[in-house]
Amino acid sequence: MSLIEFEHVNYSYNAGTESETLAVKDFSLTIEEGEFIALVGHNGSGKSTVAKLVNGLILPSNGTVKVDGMRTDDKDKLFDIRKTVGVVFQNPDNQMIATIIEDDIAFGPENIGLPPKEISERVDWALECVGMSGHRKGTPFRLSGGQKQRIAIAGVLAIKPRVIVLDESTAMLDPVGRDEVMKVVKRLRDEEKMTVIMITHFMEETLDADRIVVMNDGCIVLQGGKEIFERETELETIGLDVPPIKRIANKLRAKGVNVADGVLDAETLAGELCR
Amino acid sequence: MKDVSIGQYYPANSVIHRLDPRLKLVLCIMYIVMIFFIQTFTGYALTAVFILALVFISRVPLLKVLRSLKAIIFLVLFTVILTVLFFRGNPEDLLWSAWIIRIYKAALINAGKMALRIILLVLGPTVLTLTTTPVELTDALERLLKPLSYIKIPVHELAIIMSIALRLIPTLVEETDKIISAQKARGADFESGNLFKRAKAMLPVLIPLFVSSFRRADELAYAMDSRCYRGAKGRTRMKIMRLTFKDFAAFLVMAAFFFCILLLRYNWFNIGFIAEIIARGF
Repeated sequence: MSLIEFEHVNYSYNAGTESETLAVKDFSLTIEEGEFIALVGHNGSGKSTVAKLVNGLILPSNGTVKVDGMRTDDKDKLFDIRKTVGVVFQNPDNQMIATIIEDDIAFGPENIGLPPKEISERVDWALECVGMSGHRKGTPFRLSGGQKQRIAIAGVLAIKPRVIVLDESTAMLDPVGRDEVMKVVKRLRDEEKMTVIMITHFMEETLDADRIVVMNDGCIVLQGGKEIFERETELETIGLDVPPIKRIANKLRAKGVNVADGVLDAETLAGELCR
Repeated sequence: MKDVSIGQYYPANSVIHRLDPRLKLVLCIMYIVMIFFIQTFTGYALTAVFILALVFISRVPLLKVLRSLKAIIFLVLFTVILTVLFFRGNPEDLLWSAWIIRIYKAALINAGKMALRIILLVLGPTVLTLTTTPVELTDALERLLKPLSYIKIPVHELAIIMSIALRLIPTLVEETDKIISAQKARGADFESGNLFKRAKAMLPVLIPLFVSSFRRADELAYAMDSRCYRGAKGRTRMKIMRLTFKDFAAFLVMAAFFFCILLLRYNWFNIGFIAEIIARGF
């Protein structure tokens, strides 16, 4: 049994009205424990809808979504599903519940009904995971975007989910903030062995993923490892850029320079060129 | 403006700051009730000394406390003037009269008492909010009112609404600033014209603010759901509120003072002579 299973999922917004729009069409995907999945697509490709489907915030119009064997349309299982899958959203300001950081992070564990001492330990642990230990008693208002988003991640981590979904969690951040968040995500995958679903439209952020799933118009159009970057024209037709270094490598190759496949970072490319 | 959410809280390390917020709330209510039992200037003077002592112990600068009185200056003045003008007492008491205005001695005394009562009344909650954060207060309120949830009053829900409101104030203030700047950049004029015109000019600020607030509320609801929120059901709290020795001590002090005030008022055990001695001393 896979950890997360989407089976022929359809979802439409404003169902039954004139403005009904099918956001996700016949979407099937299975995700195994410990995988790092990058879900990419341009705006309106339906990728954020997928994030809301995973933990039952919205229910599929057709098809089923299962988390650890539990169906999201089973109301009695919803609480357990949300303990298993944590979702971090785009705007950190809209995810904070309390005015003090420790209270905000404690919100999740408090909802689960843990004893006070354990909640406090989890707050410490979650803050350490995101590298914000010194801010426990502070308020989130004075923090930078990247720091706020790390607090939001800590708030989800404190529930100790097995899967963390980042729904465009870097989209509103500056490059520094994006970098901070990506580092935390990598750490969670490597050290906490968490399953990560990274939803993004920045191709650079897919570089660390085990599997890249490309969505367009509510459907999966491409799926695989880094080899999908070779299909530059295909990605461009659906409005996605390959990572910049890859693009340079591809252009160089088109001009007849001998560059090996699978070059994705600047150092390797430099090494290739200096050979 | 960003600090609206911490209210007028003045951070300091004093016994009063560290008291259990639930107790502080109860003491504050006791204080307010007590004020209504006072009828003599002696009582008011004692209470003033009492509250000033509290301010001193709380290490909040006196000026900060007095600043809160600025908001009620008009109320006090209004009350005093109305009382003085419309009070009709004994003709022998008449101090001064002209046209339809008659000023009696009793009116002046009454007005003075009224002013003292309002000022002392406001000082109590002021000390409370200066030494307790709004978050602590909402928390305390939720815990104090918990018994009401057994008669189906949604205490937890009300408390969470309050804390989210507190949490959103700075965000909305920031957002309002942004919208105003954006509308100014498009040529909106907020500064000229009469009051009516200016109020109308705020419309293009309020509408986007409303729209974005609803969107925020939506996203916040998703985020809360995602973090296993399901109301008060099965919810525990990280911070435990526990009454300690200093809380009992504080309660005893307040209760003792309340008792003294009652003694003065009702002359229990014929103790009224003490009040007279004090009054003569003044």
